[in-house]
Amino acid sequence: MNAPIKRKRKNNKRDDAASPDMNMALIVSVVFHLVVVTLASVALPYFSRDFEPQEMAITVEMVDLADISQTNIVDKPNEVEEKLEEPKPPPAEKKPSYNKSESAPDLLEPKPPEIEEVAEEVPLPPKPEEVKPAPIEKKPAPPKPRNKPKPKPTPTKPKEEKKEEPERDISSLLRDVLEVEEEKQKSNQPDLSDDDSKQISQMANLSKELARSELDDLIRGIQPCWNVNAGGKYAEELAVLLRVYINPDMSVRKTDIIDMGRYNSDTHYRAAAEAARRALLNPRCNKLNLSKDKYEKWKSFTILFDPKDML
Amino acid sequence: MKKVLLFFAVVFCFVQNVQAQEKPDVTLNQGVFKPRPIAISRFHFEDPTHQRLAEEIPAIIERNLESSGLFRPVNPNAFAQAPSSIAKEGLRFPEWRATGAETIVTGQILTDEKGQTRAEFKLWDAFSHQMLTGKIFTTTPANWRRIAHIISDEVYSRLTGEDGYFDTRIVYISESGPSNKRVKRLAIMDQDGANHKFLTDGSYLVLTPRFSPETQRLTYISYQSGKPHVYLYDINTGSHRLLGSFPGMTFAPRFSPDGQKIIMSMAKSGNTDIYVMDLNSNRPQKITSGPSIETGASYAPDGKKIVFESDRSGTQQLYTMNADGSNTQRITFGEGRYGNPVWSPRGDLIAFTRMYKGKFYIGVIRPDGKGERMITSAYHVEGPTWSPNGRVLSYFKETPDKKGRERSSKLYTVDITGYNERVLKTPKYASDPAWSPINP
Repeated sequence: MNAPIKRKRKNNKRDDAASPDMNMALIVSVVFHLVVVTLASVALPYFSRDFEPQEMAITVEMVDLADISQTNIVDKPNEVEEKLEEPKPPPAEKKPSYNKSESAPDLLEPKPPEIEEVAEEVPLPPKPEEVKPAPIEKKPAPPKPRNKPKPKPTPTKPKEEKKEEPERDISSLLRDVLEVEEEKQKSNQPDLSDDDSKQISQMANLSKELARSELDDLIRGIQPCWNVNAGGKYAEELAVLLRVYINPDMSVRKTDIIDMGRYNSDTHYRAAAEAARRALLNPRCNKLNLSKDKYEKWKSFTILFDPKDML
Repeated sequence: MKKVLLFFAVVFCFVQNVQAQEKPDVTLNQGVFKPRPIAISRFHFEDPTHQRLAEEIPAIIERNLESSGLFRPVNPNAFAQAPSSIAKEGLRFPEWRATGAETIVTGQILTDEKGQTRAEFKLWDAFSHQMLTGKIFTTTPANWRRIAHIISDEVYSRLTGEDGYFDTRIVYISESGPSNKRVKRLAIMDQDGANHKFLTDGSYLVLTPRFSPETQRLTYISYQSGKPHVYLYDINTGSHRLLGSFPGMTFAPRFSPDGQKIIMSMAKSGNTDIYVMDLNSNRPQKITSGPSIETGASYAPDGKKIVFESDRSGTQQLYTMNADGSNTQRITFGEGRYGNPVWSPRGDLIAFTRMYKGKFYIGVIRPDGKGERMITSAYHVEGPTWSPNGRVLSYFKETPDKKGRERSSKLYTVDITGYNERVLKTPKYASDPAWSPINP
């Protein structure tokens, strides 16, 4: 009867002897758990965004182009910037004399990336005889051929087709003729060229906080140069994050596309990323609307070009 | 030990993730949508016999890109460098930027060792100085137009991320004569109206031509035998053949995405249903049933779904179903009537004709029934067809004359944003366009 009690006591002793180790393990475990929970709470929100899986395979075209691009890039941002400030007016025609200090890439050096042989002849049908339009008096009036019932618009009131001039600087870039005709939603189509109230901007990184008006100024300076491919496939999903490096005079010196994996694997993303980069390098928008005392904090920053709200 | 390693692996993953998904300091969510300025230089040449190509290829590229509505070619008078200067010393980018161009196309025409003509082009980013793409094409001089279209496609594709559509053709119904005695002929031309040819002589009525997405074949309706029947036309051989022999009318034919089947409507005992016919076995299989009229079927590009029109709800509306006829779902609920649905080759939209309040519209809708949008309207507009990249729609508009007796019809194209509507020039009146896939 006592045996179990004894065994229990022995076990208790063993437990007592091991308790310092246990405590240590417990502390380590708690610390690790805390670290994991902290990291998870910081980083997990980033999982909420879906990112394109990066394909491992690199297309042949991309390999070729990367090689060529690198051999041709003239990476003299400062020199370029200086020239951008005073763009030369276009010479009238074929003016041979110019400043040679701008080293242009050699066109003849790099091998073309791809050689394609085009078929000898466009495969057009073997010339069907150009028959004169024979009168078809024998043909009975054809039965209504259309596969759907056609309401017969009364020909007595032919309506002049009034073509509307496209207004492209609108919030929703996709046009709906019916809505335009019914004049339903003028309020939904803000003109974003001048009106401050249409600015939708946000700051994510508080360490570089700008006043709202300063931020709007910054954005207003770039957006006229950001040409969005409305109507493109997945256009609304092509948000592009760039890192921008600026000169002390607040002109953009360099841009880096952050998601190079997607850039190299998704042609739509590549086009969107390059359009975003062009917006920042365009001489019209290259000089950022930031006061010079902000240089230290803003000499490098990230900018997201997100077309979702436009489409 | 393993646990420690696992822990560090998890931490590493988190850190990587945080780095990769940097939070932006600034978010820009408003931009503009306007044609992008592009400079297309005349091509360089050394052999004087190439002068014509060196001028006309860039001219065609310019017209193609401009017609898409997505590009604005810079006036060549503003160009800072002659083609020979570009070939010799490279592009002087600051001077090209001063023209407003964001990108630059350069090229040259050469003769290779075999005596063949080589057309080389390069596309440059005016701001980053990067060469974005460049290719050489070898061909006979007679093929220069096609070279120009292929280069246009390359430029378009590189700058938009989507396939081009310039190296394509359009088949349509050419119409002549008075409205009550129209001569209708099958005709084909390049997408820009060049190389126009008639495929039938006008001695019988032809309607609704449709291109195979994969092969150089057409299907269309012909009244050759008096009744409407579906025919197959091989562009390469010029041969026409009747598709099956059915007691009733067959109409509204369209190819499956692989070009191996034809989906069409057949009227039997006063009821119209949709049939799929394998072009190898020539056996039609009925995939809809019921007393209502089902017609105008069009496959999704993956071949798994079909969109069609039906009056089963009492009014003509659009429905989707699985390729075997199961799982039918109505996708339009608007007033008026919907017909002529065509699934976009890129799969994201369905184009259709809508008749509403005495007017015709061409609209688009997503396959789930959302995002319905009318992109053009007219007294009579019908027959939408997609460019092979799913970016542009073509259709025809019919306009009555002032007395309302005669009607003229023309082909149009429009970007799917609803902007950039343009007339496609044809020698005579035109209707029922059908866009080809990219030329083989």
